[in-house]
Amino acid sequence: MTNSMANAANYNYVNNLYDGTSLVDYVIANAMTVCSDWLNYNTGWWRGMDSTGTHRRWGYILWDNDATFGHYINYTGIPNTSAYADICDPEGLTTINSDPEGHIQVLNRLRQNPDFNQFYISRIIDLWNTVFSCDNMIGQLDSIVAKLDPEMSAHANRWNGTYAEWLLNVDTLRTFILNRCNNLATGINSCYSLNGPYEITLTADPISAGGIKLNTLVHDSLPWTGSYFGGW
Amino acid sequence: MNLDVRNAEKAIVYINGAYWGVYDIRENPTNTIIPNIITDRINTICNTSRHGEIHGQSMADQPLFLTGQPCIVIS
Repeated sequence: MTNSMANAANYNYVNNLYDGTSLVDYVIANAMTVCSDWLNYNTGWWRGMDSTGTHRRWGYILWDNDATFGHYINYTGIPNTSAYADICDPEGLTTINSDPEGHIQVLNRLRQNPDFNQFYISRIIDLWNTVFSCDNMIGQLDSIVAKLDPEMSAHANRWNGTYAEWLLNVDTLRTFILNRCNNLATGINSCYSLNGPYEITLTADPISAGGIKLNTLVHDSLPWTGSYFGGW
Repeated sequence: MNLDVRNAEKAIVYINGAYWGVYDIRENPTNTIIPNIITDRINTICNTSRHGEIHGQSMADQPLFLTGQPCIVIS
């Protein structure tokens, strides 16, 4: 952990063994969902040993993410468990109690490399526009609720709860998600000294000419509209 | 995203004929399951989970799900 990742040779050595983009997605997924039971618990990482395999480098697997969106106990000691937590809060989780295995220290060290740092911040914004957009998260919630709803009266009766209580819990979760996705832009600005967001639209002429790569994502369905930041 | 997850599906569970409610069936990331997913042979999965957790009911009712998962080393 002492070698500078601003040195290209050092960075390339690490990059050959360790998939930093997987770490970035792992951190962003937990930051977006305000996870409070990770790093000190529930962190999985693996690599394949097949010389012809596609996962030779160390990468991450999500594990036990129920302590999210304001639910459960703050085992990790995150500084803010509310929907208004800054997106960069995980970058400060470097104590032995919060992150005994040093995943965040690895992230912060890799960010010494300018290309990696730009990837990290761009990836946050890309995923806020897509996976963690309000539309996508609420759509995912609604699809799960629709699947569970027909059975929840019987389930609640089995475990001494009520259907009405479940509906109330779903509403609490929905409110947290909406507060989270609608306020992330403020945190992105303050964390990384950016301004915006500004709406952009990607299109092509003719419209079926092909996709457009924007940062870490390729948008094949055009026109595509998103929100991006200035000041970098 | 460049992350692995355990696939899951919702299930209505009966145990010895008794209604048990709604659960997730999840892939168990062992040496027999994961290679089928990603075609790689894994040597290590590290996971610092204390135990499996089921919420919404007494843990005492769920002994089958209290599984410790330290680092799994597969040769």
